[in-house]
Amino acid sequence: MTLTTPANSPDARIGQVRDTPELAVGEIDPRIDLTHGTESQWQLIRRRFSKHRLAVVSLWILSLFVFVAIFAGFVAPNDPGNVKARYTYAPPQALHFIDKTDEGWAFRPHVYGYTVEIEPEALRRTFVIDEDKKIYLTFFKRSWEYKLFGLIPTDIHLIGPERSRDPFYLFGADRLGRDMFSRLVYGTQISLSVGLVGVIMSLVLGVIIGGAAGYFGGWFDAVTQRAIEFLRSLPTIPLWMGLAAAMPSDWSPLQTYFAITLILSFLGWTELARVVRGRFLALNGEDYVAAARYDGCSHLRVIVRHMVPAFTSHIITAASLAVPAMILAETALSFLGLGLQAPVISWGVLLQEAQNIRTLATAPWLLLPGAAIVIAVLAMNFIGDGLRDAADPYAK
Amino acid sequence: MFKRNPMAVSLAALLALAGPALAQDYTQAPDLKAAVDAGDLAPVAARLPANPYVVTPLDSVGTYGGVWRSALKGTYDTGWIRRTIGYQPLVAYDFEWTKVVPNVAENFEVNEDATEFTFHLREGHKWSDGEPFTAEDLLFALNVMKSPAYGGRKANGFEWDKITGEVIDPQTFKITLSDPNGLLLERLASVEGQFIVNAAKHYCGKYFPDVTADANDIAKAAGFESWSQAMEQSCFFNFVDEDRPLLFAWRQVTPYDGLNQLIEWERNPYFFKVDTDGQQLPYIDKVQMVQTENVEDIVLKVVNGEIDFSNRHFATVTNKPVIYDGQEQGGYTLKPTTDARMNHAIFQLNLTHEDPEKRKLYNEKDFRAALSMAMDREEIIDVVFAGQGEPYQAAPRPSSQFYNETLAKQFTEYDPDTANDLLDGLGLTERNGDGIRLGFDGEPIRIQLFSPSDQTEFNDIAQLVVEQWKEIGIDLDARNAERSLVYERIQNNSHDMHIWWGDGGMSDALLDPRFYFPFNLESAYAEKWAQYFMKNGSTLAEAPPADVQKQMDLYIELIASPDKEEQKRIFGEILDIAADQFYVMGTVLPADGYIVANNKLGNVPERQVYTWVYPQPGPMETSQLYYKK
Repeated sequence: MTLTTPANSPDARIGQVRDTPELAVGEIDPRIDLTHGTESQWQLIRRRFSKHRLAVVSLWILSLFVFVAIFAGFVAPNDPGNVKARYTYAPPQALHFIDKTDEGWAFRPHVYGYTVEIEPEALRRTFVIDEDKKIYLTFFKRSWEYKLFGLIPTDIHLIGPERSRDPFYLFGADRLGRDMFSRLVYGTQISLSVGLVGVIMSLVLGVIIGGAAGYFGGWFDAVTQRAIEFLRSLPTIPLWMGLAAAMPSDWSPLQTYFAITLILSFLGWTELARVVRGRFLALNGEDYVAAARYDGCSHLRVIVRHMVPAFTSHIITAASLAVPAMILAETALSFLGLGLQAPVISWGVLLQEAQNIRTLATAPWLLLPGAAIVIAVLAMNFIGDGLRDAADPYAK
Repeated sequence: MFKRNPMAVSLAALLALAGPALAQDYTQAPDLKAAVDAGDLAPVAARLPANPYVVTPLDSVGTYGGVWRSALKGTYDTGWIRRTIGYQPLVAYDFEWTKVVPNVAENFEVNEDATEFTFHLREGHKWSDGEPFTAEDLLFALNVMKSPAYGGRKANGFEWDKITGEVIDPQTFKITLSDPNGLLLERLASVEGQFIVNAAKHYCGKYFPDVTADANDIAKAAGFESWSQAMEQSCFFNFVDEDRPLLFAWRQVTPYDGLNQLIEWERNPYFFKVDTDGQQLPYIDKVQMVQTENVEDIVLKVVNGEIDFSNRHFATVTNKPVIYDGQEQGGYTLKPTTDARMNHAIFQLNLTHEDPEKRKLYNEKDFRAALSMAMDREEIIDVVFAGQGEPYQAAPRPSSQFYNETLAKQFTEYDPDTANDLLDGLGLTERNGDGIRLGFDGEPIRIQLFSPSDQTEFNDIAQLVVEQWKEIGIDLDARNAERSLVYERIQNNSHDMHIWWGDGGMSDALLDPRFYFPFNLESAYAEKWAQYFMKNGSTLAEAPPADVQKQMDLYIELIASPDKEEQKRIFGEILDIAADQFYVMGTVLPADGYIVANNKLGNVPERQVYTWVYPQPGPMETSQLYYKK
């Protein structure tokens, strides 16, 4: 539904200063700014949000992350679990778009191949980028099979080397010769979804418990508030550790994944419950809520029809700020070796595999998941920031 | 009536010749000389035994001074202490690990039946507190271990009820065995044999009820739970008591009790060894061991040049590039070690599984052969070990006197087709939707493997094998777990599979044949049969099949034989049966290892064998390490 009205329609006179005799019917008084005052709440929010430059940029970045997460198999050029003995600890290859040959210049994306040598003394492979070995890339390359959205089997990938056997390591390779870029892409899928699913679960818990506490008050409020205070007073890391350690060790990676999400959201709802309760308390005293009650509306109608719309924006803001915390929590747990475990790939798992001197000294590209976490968390915080400002568009 | 061992006689004769020729005038470290001059310490000749052990330096006679720094991991890393300064046993392995030579004992004799062992101690030998060291101390240590009331950790590999100690005179100690044991000297020279010269009766007697009636109260007053714990931690295996008298080259200054970050040792003024110039050893003034929390911490210390001589924990294939690159900056050199282990990782299916269906499947030799042939060992070598190593089963190394080609090489060829045929031949032809074969019970074959998380290479190997076995329709569920959890599951016999290093690749195969037949608790492929062999009264014990029993009988026969050739022959028979049984699946024969040595350090061995039973670097005689000027 939109309330915007075309400027030349008769309805556009709403809000105009009437009785201006110089104007003919259908003409608009140029003194009146029609762009204000006729927009919906959502338009105002969008306008206000778009003024927050960082938030807008962050939204684009996050959209990219979400796209990558949803289409992980399509974006990843290599199978993230595929071990290639020849390319253990291969450094990243730079992506080139313009191909300079004797015949001239052409748009032909390519990377340079490696020459690999084994140093028996130092027990490692040395990689030298060999500019004579050009590995050309093609778009929509057919190679390894995956299931899009976990359902549709396909083998089309955004980009890939013309010959599938050629090395293509945009972000380098890990200790087993697995493609870091593809692993990062798959890690994005898991880590973002843990964050989002976790927040949705804690949101449901938080809105129900916090809402009931704020609306009804009394003993229920007292009990939930003490419970929340207790939960929040527990040091989080030892608590996660305890819960994670209590998980049966024979659970499959998928079960562990859901269990970790559950654990995180069972502890994460308290913050949201507080926010919701606060809003309910504030709105309870509003005249229109009292009026709705005196009109004989049921509790459910008062809450859903009259109160919730008044603070949806606040909930969205609180939730969007909770996602990065959830992602960091998953990362911390996995980094400590208590959360997700290989072969599941998450940012935390990738970082855990990188926590050794060998990586720091000889393969710093394995720390890229750290950069991904920083970017994602910052972006989400900026978006949350922008949303908070935008949620109340009339505030200055 | 016993005959002299000709080898022992010749060695004793050599030492007797070398010793007195230099005895006239012994010299000592400057700090000790100052103490003697001040009248705080007895002169060096009075502190040394009448007949000190003369160490012939590996390269050259050294000079006094300096600190030897190394690192310990966690609060129970006593292994490094026992391998280094703690290796001063009654009799020792020689440097090349070819024979057992006198050490604390000046010489020894063995009778023909290998039932009577007589050790002659050095006259005037003293503990680090200046008290005399005599045969009474040996008897005391032995009797504690023999005591049924002693509930602490006992040295491995000894049958306590068959050993009797006897003090002939203060310098002569005799061990009598009720059954012959041709391996007793090797046991005493191994890292487990040190106990017999570790407990000073005049000090530790207070913790043993046979010596002191209220020993338990004294132990409790000292902060221990019981006298057994006090004996174990204060007098045998741990180093929590810095006042305890020792025979080591350095004596303890700070206790290793978890509270101190830096464990320090200072020169023992009563140490019983001198160099060929008559200088009392050790050359190095102090030993410092830093307690660290993890291996990465140690790697950093190595690269920063804060480790002078060590390979403890950090010397893995993964870390080698970093440590190799750090040589110039850290001022150290890598010296090769010959790994005496015969395998980087041995996959052990639980042949005595509690689940009858799994037990039936795992006991099919064809099943294990198929799994073995489905392993692409070349890939493992390429990926995890940078191309160094050789496909190998659990078998003595090629350089070992016990090398058995069938045992070493069977089923190492990568051949998934034959593997598939073998599995089909067993009737495992049905598969589920994921292509996993169904077992005899109709369930998909899923083998769970917990690999200890502190051994990252196991995990990398296991992850490769997961993919390789998928090809033949076997689901290996490999995951990391804390080491203590892994061992707890083995002790409860609740594991499907275990993965561990292949110990016992050289002469130590005789002492620890854990992978050749169910021998001890490390034989994780047949915990129940091993318990049966150990006769320790465990409820898990279960009588093994005839072939396994035959191996056990042969080993008992082997022990009873003092003749080395006869031992070798019997062991060959045991290995033949092991080859036929094919209990476990090996992966890769380890290539050379390495040890880090400070560039300024002298008398560093150019190459040494690395293993646990031969506690490298101990037998090189670490007291001869010195800093070049």
